Amino acid sequence: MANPMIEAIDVTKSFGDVTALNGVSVAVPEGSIHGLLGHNGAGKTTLVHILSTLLEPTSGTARIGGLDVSADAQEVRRRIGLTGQFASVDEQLSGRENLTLIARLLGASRRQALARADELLELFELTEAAKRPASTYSGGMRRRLDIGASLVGSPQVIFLDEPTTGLDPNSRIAVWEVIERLAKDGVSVLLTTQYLEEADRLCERITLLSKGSVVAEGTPAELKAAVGQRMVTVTLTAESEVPAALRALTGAGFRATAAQDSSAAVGVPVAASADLAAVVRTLNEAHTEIAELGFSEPTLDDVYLRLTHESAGTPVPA
Amino acid sequence: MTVVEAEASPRRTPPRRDGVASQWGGSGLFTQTIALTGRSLRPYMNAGVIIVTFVEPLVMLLMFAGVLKVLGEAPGMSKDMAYIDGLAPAIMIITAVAAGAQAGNGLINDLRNDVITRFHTLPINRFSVLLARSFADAARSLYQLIAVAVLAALIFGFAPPGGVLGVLGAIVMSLLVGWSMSWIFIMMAALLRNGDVLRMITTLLTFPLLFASNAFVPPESMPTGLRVIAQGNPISYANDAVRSLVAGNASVMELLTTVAVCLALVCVCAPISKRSFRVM
Repeated sequence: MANPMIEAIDVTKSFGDVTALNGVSVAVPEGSIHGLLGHNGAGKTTLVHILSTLLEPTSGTARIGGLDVSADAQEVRRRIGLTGQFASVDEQLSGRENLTLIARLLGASRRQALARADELLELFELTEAAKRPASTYSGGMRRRLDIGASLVGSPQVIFLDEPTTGLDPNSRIAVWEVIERLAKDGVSVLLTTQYLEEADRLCERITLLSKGSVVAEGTPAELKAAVGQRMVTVTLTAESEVPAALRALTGAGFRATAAQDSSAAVGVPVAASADLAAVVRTLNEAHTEIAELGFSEPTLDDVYLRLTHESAGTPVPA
Repeated sequence: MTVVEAEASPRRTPPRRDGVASQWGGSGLFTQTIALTGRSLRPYMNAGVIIVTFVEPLVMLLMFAGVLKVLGEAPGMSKDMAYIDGLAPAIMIITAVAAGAQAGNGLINDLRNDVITRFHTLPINRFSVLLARSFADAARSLYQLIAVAVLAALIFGFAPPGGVLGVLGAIVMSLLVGWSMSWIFIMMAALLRNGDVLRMITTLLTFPLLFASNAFVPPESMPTGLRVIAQGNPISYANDAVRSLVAGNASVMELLTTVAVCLALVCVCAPISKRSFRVM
């Protein structure tokens, strides 16, 4: 990719004996939204902290707009905004004061600071609450203020660490709309999330992290395709039938997995509809009775579970 | 014939300028410190805190002036001065240093709070965060110092020979002592980053520092071990300096030495603080 806006090349980060990131590479072009998907502890936040100049990498290179985060840290800071996992708004100050403080730290005059604050308050629909202390804000409002605070300097790059965790559905949608608008305006966004739905909706590309390593990278569609074009869901007559069914299907060359909920369902990714017949035939030959049969496109859930399952070395039940 | 549409690139708009941060030109250490000090002061600006902050020195005054009055003579003061005239300046020093010691805890709270995290991603001088912390607690101590002077005068008839000028000088000197001492605690907070350990150390340090001194009783009357500590204790020297100021007979040498020691303390602790100050 020519001139990525956000770039990590083989970044490793260790804290004593613990390796939080192991040779992670990411490249995000300008004006796009890139997702970092992974469990807690996968290394997403650590990577964001390195890219936002809060941490130094143990090895590897990280660049924002071509500038090295270690060598040109201060220059990088002029171009970025960070909204961390836990809302870092000053609760003692009002919404407006939170924003004007940052504007003034960036060099705005009092008047410029107030204008910019009001602009952002309106954008995030916080104008009515502007004068109240942030401690009185709801979770959604606090999060919107937090994102607003990261935008005061009109940065080229925004890092959003789990921006909708803990928010009610309406607030989540509001935040998603803001993020989409930002990208339309040309801001490059790196977002971490545990919500697959969020990654699917917002991100052009996703990097799947597990235990500090990149497990997969691609567009949401590509990742879903990696698990198979379509998913055949076979519901058996009893849960006790599942192991036998899995044995038979795996023996026939399918990558079957049992459903996570303890229903008697088995998921079989298939490339083409013709494979459906093969699945049915395999199960019949194994004398496994099928109660129900269904088709669906794999969700990111399936991708996630399968790919992190595999990378964790947990054997797929056979 | 079907026309194959090229995949739309909905988000490739013209490159943004540097961010309005460049349009605003950035700010200097001074502006940043002022802005952040205002922010640090905010938690102190509510009625409850203002009252408690006022009551602390009041209680100390009542306790020591009332209880220890039986000793009659204040250490280091001439016989024709009242006990309160020697006690009030000592309480000023104690008040200022105790307020300064809170700077460490204040910093830990900020770190725990995550608000500082954002400041560290801004193109500002990180030292301004530490400076602001020290100034906020110094401002609080100024308020308390004035309270001590006023209360001592009103309740105990504090009216030293040095007059108003002497008292103002004592306030300024106490402020300087307290501010420079706060850097010890800021440094420890930056190094330890652990609120519990810091609180423990703060208590262990401030108690003997303030009380194993010539604040309340002359060191000559103390048992040997304590006397040695009290005589070597920098707080004792600070007490001497402010007492001379209120008595109106401070020597330039004495004052300059105290100021120099304070500044030296800052020059040692501040750079260490700056270097070890990280958010993670």
